[in-house]
Amino acid sequence: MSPVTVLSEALRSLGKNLVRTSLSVLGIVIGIAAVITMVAVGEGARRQVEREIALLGDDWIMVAYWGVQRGGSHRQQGLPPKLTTEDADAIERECSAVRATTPVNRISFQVVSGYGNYQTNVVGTRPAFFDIRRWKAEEGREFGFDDMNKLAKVCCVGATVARELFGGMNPVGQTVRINRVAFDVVGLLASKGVGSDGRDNDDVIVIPFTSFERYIAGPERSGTLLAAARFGEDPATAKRQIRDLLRQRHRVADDEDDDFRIFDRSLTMQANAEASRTFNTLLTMIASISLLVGGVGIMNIMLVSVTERTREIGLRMAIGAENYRILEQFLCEAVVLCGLGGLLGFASGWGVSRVVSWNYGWEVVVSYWMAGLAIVFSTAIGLFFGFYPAWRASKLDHIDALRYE
Amino acid sequence: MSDELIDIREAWKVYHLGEIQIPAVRGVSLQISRGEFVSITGSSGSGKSTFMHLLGCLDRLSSGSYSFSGQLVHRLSRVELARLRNRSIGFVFQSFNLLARTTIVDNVALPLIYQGVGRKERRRRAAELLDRMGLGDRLRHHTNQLSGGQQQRVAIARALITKPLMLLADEPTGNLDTRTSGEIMTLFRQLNVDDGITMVVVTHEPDIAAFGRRHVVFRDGMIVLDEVQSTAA
Repeated sequence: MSPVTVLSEALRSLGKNLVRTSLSVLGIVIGIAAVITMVAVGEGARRQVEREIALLGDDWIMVAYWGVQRGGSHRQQGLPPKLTTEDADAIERECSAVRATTPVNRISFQVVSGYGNYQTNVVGTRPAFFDIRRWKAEEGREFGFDDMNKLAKVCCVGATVARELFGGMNPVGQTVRINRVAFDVVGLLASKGVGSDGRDNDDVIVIPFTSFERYIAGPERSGTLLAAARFGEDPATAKRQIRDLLRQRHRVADDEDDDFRIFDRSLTMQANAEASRTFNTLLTMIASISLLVGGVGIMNIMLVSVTERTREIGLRMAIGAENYRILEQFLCEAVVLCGLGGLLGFASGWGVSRVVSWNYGWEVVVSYWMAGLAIVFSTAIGLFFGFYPAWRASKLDHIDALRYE
Repeated sequence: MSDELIDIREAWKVYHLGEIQIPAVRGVSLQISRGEFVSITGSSGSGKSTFMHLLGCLDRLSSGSYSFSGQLVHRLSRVELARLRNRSIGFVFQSFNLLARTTIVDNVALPLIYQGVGRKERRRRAAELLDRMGLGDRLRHHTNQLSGGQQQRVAIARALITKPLMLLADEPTGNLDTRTSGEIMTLFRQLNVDDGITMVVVTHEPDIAAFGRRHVVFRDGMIVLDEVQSTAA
C-alpha cells in the first residue's frame, strides 16, 4: 500500500467527522501556537540585540582591575598609578586583534553650568573612546590628541546632560564647572538613548584622560580599560590576547587567578535575555501542558475511534488487511490529525506573535523553518500518542471485531 | 491442480474459558470441489459459525488439517492467512459491513487497497463490477442512501472484486425481505453457474438453504447430514 494511499485514506476518514476532528486537535493547536510564539519572540529578541550591537557599537570589551585577591580583599587602592595607561599602550602595540584601547576613569560629580547643576558621570578617556563606542559629536567636535597633550580643559557632553544643564540650547561654546574647574564644551554627543540594560547612555560628560588625571581624579586611579576588536576579528580572540598580555605584564603566576576581569556585551546580553526569559518560561509551561493534554486528547479520540470502528477493523482484516496495515492506518490518522493541528498552531502562533509585537513593541520573527518545527513537533506527538490506540486496533481479534455491536 | 478446492480433515476447534474447554467443532471432515454450491445449516450453537470461520481462514484449527486450493492453511501465519483471504475468498455478511460515509465505489474497491492496486485502477475495476451488478448509476452514492438489497449487492461486489475462488456468505439474507432474498440467492446461483465461483452459504432458513446443490447440516459441532440434492429448488 503506497504512502499516498495511506495518507489519502487517513484524510478521508478524518474528513468524515469534521467537528470531532477539529475539536480534538485544539490542544495541539494551542500547544504548537505557544511554541511558535515562544520561538518567534526569542528570535526577535536575539535579532534586536544583534542590531543594537551593530548600530550602537556595543561590542566593546571592558577590563576592570580587580587588584590581586589576597586574603579575600580586593586591593584596588594599591594599583600602580600608571597601570592602565601603560597597559592600554601595550595592548594597542601587541594585541593584533584589538583595534583601539583606552584607559577610562569615571567619577560621579555635581556639574555646574550658568543655568543649573546636575549630578552626572564624568569620564576621562582618550579619543579612542569615540571609536570604541562608535560615538560621534552631533554638534561641535570630539576632542583629539592635541587636547590630550595640552591637558586642554575641554569636554563633550551627552544629550541628557546638555538638556539638564542648558535646557534646549546648543551647549557647544558654553562652559561647565567640574570640581570647580571650568571646561569648555566642544561637542554634543549624538544621543544613544537608553540601552537595553536600562542605563541612560547620554547621562555623561567625556573629557581627555590627561586633563581628568590632573584636574579631577585626585587620588582616584583609573581601574578600567575599554577596548574594541579589529573589524572582522573575533572579539573572543581579542579578549584572549588581552588576557594573556595582562597576565604577563602583571606577572600573574600560572596557578594564580587574574587580577582583572574582562567583561563584554555578552554578559549584558544575558541580562537582556532575562526579560524575555520570564515570558518564555511561561510560554514553555503553557506549551508543554497543552501539548501533553493535546496529545492525551488525541490518544483518547483515537481510542474512541478504534472502538467505534471495531467492525470496520474486523471487516478490513477479514478482507485481507494484515495487522500492520491496521496499525499503519490508525497511526497515520493520528499523525495527520496532529500535523493539521501543527499547521493550524503555526498559523495561530504567527497571529499571536503579531499581537505580542503590537502590544509590547517587541520584535518578533516568524520564519518558514518554524513551520517545519511545528510539523516535526506535532508529528512526533502524533506518533507517540497515536501508537497505543493503533496498536490496540491491530491486536483486535477479527472474529470478535466483526461481531461487535 | 485437483478438482478439490477444500479438504478439511478431523478439524477441531476448542475454546478455553478459564479451566473449562469448550469444543465447538469436533472432528469435522469435509471436502468441497471447485464450482460446488454448498449450503450449511444448523441451529445456533451447532458449531456452524465456528466452522465457517475456519473455512474462511478467519480462525485457526485447534487440530486437524485444512488444505485450501492446495495450500496447507493450518500451517500459515496470521499475515499469510490475511493474504489468502484477500486473494482467494470473498465474504458476504448478514449486516453487510459496508463503510459508512463512504461511496459505493470506494467500498467495493476496499480489498484492492491491500493488494497495492492504484487508486484509479481500483475505482475503474469497482465501477465496472458495479455496472455489471446493475448499480452503475449510483457509484457516488453513500451506502446509507441504498436499500438493504442494494447494500447487499454492493457487499457482494466487494467480495467479488478480487476474483476469489470461493464466496463465503454468512446469513446473507438475514436482514432482507423474502423477495430481495430471492434476488440475492439467484445472483449467487448465477455467479456459481456462470463464473464457476464456489459458493458456501451459511443460513438457518430452509428455503435459502434449498438454493444450494449440496446441503450440510451441523449439530453439536459435528456434521449430521451431507447430501447432494437431486433437484435444485
